[in-house]
Amino acid sequence: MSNIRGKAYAMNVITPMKRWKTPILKAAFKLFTAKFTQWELRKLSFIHFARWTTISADKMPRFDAMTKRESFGYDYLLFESNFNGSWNEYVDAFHSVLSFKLNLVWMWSENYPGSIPLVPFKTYIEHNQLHNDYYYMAYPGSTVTDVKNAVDVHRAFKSLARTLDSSDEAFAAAYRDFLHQVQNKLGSNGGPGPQMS
Amino acid sequence: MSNRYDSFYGYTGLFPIIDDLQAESHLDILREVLMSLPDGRGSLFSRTGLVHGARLFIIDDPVYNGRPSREEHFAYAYLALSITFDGELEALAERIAAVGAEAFTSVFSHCYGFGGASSAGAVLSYLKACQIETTFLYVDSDVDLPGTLSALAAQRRIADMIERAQGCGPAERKALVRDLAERLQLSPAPEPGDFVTSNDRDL
Repeated sequence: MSNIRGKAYAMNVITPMKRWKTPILKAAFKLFTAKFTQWELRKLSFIHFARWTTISADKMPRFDAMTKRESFGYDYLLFESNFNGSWNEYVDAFHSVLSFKLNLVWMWSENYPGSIPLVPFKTYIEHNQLHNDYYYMAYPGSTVTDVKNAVDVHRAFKSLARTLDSSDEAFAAAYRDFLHQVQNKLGSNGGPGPQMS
Repeated sequence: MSNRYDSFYGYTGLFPIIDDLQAESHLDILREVLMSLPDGRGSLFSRTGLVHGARLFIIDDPVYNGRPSREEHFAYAYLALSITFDGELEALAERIAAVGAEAFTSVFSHCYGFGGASSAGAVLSYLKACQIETTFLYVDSDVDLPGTLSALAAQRRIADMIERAQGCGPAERKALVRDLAERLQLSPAPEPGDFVTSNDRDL
């Protein structure tokens, strides 16, 4: 099982859905493509990337050598996420911060209990979770916040370097501004991170 | 619908695993192959230089959720592949064929329809044949992979420079900033897959 790579955890959850519900769910996802609807996710700042995919029998790949044909009656909703922290912290955050939007997405799945109360929700996620056989992260030692901080520090430093040809006074002012911008973003990144369950 | 998020591509694929009568099933062999596949610097996805994250997992069968839902089964087991990367699928296929054909073949030769990975065209057509359109993709970043790795590597060196610059006058600080800016510009982007992102070794 390779759900964990450094500071990142990869979760997969697959749930059955009655076919007639799929177009409604897709319409809901269209609303969520507007970036202003994603502000809670950005504020949480612990999901590198996530995706939802709907799987239908008529869209499954098919090759000549395959003698059987898929005929499953449900559509399936596959959720995949890369986040920092433990499974419990992640599901707790979903339950407490994103419960309304999460319910809008998962309420179409069979026997979904809702994200509140917490225990049936966790039981449902656990029951439908598929574990990874292989997991790769390009920067496993860095959390989402580590990456954002490093990018901000790097950009600020490049701006500072563009003032090198200015007078000493102007450069001193630019250096002070630079320190103000980066002083809370210089924490180290790297390392395998804490052991997570 | 949403394979893309800004400059990122979210590929999702389901690859049917060969189901034939032999002493050891493709499913069992595939699980062993996946467990032994390198996952750090120099691994298949690292060498492409495009991939932020990737995973492979086997879907044997759907999970039964109890009554009143129906119990049902897939005709085949599927290998699910998800990749989040920079750019377009064509570019990724090109890189896989160029730097990862052997590893790619060791995995997908256990799946139906695989026609080899010796050319970008073969990899691309197989990835497309098994692609399931991603319904909704979310990426919490606006920086490509080289930019991300360079920033992670630069951050520590910038912090070191700030420490050294404490108590210095403007001229000395300028010299320290100029020196680091030149060094960072000359440093190649670090290789992906390491726990500690660094380009120190290249200086």
